[in-house]
Amino acid sequence: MPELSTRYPCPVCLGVMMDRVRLGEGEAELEIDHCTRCGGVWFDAGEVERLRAFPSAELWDRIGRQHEEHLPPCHLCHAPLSRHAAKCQACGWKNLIDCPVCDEVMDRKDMVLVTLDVCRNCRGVWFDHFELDILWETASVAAAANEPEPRGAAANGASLAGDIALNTMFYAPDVAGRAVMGAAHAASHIPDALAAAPDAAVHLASAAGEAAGGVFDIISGILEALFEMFDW
Amino acid sequence: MNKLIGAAGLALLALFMLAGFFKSSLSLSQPSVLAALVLTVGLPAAGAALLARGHYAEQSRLTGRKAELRRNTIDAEILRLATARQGQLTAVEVATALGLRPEEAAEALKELGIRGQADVQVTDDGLLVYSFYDVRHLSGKHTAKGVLDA
Repeated sequence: MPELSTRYPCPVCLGVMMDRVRLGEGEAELEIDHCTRCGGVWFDAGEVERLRAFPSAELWDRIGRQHEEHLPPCHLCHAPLSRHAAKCQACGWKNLIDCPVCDEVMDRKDMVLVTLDVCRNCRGVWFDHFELDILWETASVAAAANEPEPRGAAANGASLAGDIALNTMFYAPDVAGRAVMGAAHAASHIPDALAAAPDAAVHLASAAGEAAGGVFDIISGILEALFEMFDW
Repeated sequence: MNKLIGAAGLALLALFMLAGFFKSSLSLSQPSVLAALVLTVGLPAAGAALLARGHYAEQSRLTGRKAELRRNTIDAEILRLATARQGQLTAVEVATALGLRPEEAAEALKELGIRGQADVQVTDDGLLVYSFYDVRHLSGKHTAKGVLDA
């Protein structure tokens, strides 16, 4: 009996369900979501890191490499809009897509070579097709640079850039996760602070009220002087 | 989002000045006090309301445009599927290929039929089949001639 799995909608194309693509077998098996229309790929939390175990050729075999950049329509004015662009030139809409899993607006994170869409809520990452292309090309250059024969400075530079890019991409969701945990930890102290603060709050409100009264008196005074000046 | 922040700021300013009015000893019978109230409370409150309204109108417009884009994409995908299936489709085929609910798939096909993109046919078993004339005759496009020569 075939296994049932949830298909998520493509966050870029809208209206198209992504295909589930299986890489590897057994415990190492990885299932990713791929849009056959725009070529983008959705990785749930932790899947990007696991992808490192697979050779790029296997991925390209399964999802098919697109050689021309797909220009999806702007979600607001429907004009063709490159996923590179921060906003639509025609209507000014910020090029922010919704997470296919939790439907929240995702953050755009500028990495070394690409701009990724990361969900703060579920920590999933969206790779546009060309971003995946850049990622794997960089990884290939980096792998070639690790060979024993001497390489040029350009290859070493590319390797370093590739490593930085990959590491940044793999750990970006973790950094975001830790930030959220830090915020949650800080938030846990808020009730204590609130319990200790009612007196201070009363004083603050009273002082703000006095200040507001003073400002209102000043403005009324100015208006009264103006009224007198023009004999109103 | 910027509009919503602006609206919240203006609303806070209006509340602050309203609190100031209640704290002050001035009477509303004086025209200058009334003018100050309009200027410091009424204007920021009106600005806040306009900004909030603008924000929600923008959100609702974006939601509507996304729904329209979703429909356009589904239409395009149905036509692509029809090309792959010799120009004939059923609701079940569309539902399974595009991951739509069967009712959604049937509705999308019906819409295409209404817009003249597909004809409805029925099999002997009562199955509804949508036939896409243009798609079925795509192979003959190289025989096209000028309208006056045809």
